[in-house]
Amino acid sequence: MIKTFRTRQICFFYISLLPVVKFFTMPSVLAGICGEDLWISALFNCLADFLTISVLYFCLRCENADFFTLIKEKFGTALSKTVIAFYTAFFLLKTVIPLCEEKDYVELTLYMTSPSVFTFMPVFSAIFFICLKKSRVIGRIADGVFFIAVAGYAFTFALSLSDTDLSAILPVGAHGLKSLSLGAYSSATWFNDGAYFLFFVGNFVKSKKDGLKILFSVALSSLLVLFFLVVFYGTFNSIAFRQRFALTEISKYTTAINNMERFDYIPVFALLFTSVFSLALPFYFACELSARLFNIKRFVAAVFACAPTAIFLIFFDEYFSTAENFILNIASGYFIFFGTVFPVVMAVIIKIRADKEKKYAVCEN
Amino acid sequence: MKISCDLQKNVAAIKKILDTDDVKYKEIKAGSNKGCLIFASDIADKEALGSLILRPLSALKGKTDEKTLYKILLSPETDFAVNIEDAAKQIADGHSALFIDGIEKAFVFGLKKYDKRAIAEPPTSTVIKGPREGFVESLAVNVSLMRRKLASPDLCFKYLTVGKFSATQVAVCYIKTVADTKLVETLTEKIRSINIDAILDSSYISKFLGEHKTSLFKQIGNTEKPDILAAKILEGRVAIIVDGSPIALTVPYLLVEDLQSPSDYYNSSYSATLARLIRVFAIFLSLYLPAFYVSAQLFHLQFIPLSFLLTIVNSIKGIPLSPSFEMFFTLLIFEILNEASVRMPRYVGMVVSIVGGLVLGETAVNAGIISAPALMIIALSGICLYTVPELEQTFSLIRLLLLVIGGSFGAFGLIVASAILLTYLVSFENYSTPLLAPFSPLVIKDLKDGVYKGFMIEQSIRPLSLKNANKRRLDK
Repeated sequence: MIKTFRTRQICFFYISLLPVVKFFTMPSVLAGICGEDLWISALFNCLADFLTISVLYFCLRCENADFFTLIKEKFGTALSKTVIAFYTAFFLLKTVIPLCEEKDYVELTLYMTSPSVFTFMPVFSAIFFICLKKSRVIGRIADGVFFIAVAGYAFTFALSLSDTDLSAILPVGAHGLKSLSLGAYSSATWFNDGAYFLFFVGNFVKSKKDGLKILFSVALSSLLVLFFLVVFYGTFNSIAFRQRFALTEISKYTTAINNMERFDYIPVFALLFTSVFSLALPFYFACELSARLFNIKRFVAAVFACAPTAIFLIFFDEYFSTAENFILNIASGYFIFFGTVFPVVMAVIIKIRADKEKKYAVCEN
Repeated sequence: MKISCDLQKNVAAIKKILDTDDVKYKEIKAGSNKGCLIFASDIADKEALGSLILRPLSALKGKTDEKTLYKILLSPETDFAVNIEDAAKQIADGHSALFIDGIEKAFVFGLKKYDKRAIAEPPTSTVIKGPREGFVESLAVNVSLMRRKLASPDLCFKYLTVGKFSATQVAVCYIKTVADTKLVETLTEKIRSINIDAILDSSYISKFLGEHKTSLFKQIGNTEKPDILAAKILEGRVAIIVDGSPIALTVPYLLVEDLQSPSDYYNSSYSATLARLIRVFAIFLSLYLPAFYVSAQLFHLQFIPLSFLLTIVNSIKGIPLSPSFEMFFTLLIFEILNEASVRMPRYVGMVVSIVGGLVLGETAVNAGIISAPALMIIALSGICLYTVPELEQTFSLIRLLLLVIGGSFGAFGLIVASAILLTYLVSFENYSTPLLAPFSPLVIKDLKDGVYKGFMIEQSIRPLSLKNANKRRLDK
């Protein structure tokens, strides 16, 4: 089997493409729920992602197919189709919040006056175009975007650190386990990135210490998010929850009090550029899965993946807060189950079955 | 039709095919046999024909045969034709054919002579340091230039003839111990399958070799300099040299090739790296500056520093055109001037550039039709584009596209367009070689000759982005 990805591309994928979507409204949402403990709530999710990817890697590293193909091979087509259907829904749901928040961000921060059809809707052309490409393009995009994203992170942190009071996050854990759990539950839509690894596992070229490299990059990606949250809260303290778009707000005190000469927009643009690809990822994987589910051509699958969200954004924009409430409060369980619980359980089952098969094969020989 | 023993019949058949006045028929005697030497008078080397063919023939006595003739004829390039059509083709191509009564074959001599342009420095890639010779229109001269650069038995040339009417000679050139043999075979097959009236330049071939027929981006590399071509085939590429064209093609092509200049390899690594960084920066500036300026004016005034914003406000006061139309109009004038200066005779071109650049620009600003910043931005963008002349055509189109997007959708539109462009470029492959390598997919070892120009001693292996049979090029 020809492997689609390289270990390096998976590492770059986690470091460059995934943290950026967590920099828009998630920090203020978390600050509203857990105050200075926002980073602990995020840490729960980060640990869950790390655990998922670790289990997937260690259980399935010797396999030669991705998670969904493995399910088909081990448990048959019926279960595999059901799983794929659930994951298609998972990725489609995962597109809603990041897309809506970025739409608001672009309209309110960058334009203010222009109608959304002209300002934000072109993003669907990029998403649709990416959806039409083969899987290896995702790895290459990670390669191509890596340095831009890293430069964006570095500049953003460099511009904001000078005004950060790190003592603002103390005392640690003052908000109690209940609000921390609520924070972790509500932010599940932004995390559960272990689900992306379902496509990578068994589908990358093995290299020396690849597990270590992948897990290190996942940890680094989580650290970036946690550090961003800490800096964000350290900058705004108790009014952090009022700063809707953390990405723009975090570095604004460095430049000027007035609204002009915002040269901090340079790293923002770098991160926005990265975010276009980040937004496209759930669409891409939903498209990939729907193509497998319905046995349809990529073009049709891309239309299937992109059209509902585009229509929702254009015509039903006023229901966004309802959708947001639904996803943050109700659908989070779905994200946690299919982003963490199900992959871990299935990976362990597949591993046990594979070990048993091996044992029988040895005995028969 | 087969060549027969009857000389008159053969000559008549040739005359029927080559019904043209520039083909001459010289009746000769080869001992007791009659014969006819047929040649295209303006292209055959008559002096060589006299001394190497006619003189030995006149010395023959008695009845002669094929073996004897082959021994006494002194032409270093002697071939045989068994068909009348083949012989006619060879004559039309400048060779000379000798028909002898009683022999069922024609002798074909490769004795051509025609005027050639002298070897000179190509105007498209001038260097301060390094070799100055460039290819000319003659395939033979170009092949000799390559042989002089790479005097190795591994350097191979495969000759092919393409074009129904032009019968253009095409040479596929590669180093057999370095190049990917599969690629050589694929290219040879592709060139052989071209069924076109005429190949008038190597660019005709490149249109057939590109795997994406409608792509805006270049898919086949090219050069006018033998030293560059030698360097490229030493990296594992395959070259295609076409008779009648001073531009050699190379396959596979990487976008990074055009960011590299020949002088980079003759200067120090530091200055070469700096020059490459400047080129990359200039390309980004030329592509994005006009679009970003328009989008900032229309949608994002907060991005512009206050003092600069005041300058802009003062300069655009009274300008009747909208920012995007103003920029588009200025760009259009720039493109017209560019087109005119390329087409016009050189001495008139100077006048056009003075009138266009100084008079038109200055008066347009003074008359309040366009603003000084817009003019400056277009001028800067135009100059920047020429830091990588090979990609000028592609990038000027992308610049225009970005300008329209920037004017219509603002900065986020530009971001989205850039994302589409990047996706397109990373997915673009030609002959299984990614266009954007070594950046995407990242090939770390090849970055030593990417934007950063490593020291020669560091580059001990050939580029891994290209398929090549032999990786090592420098033994430390």
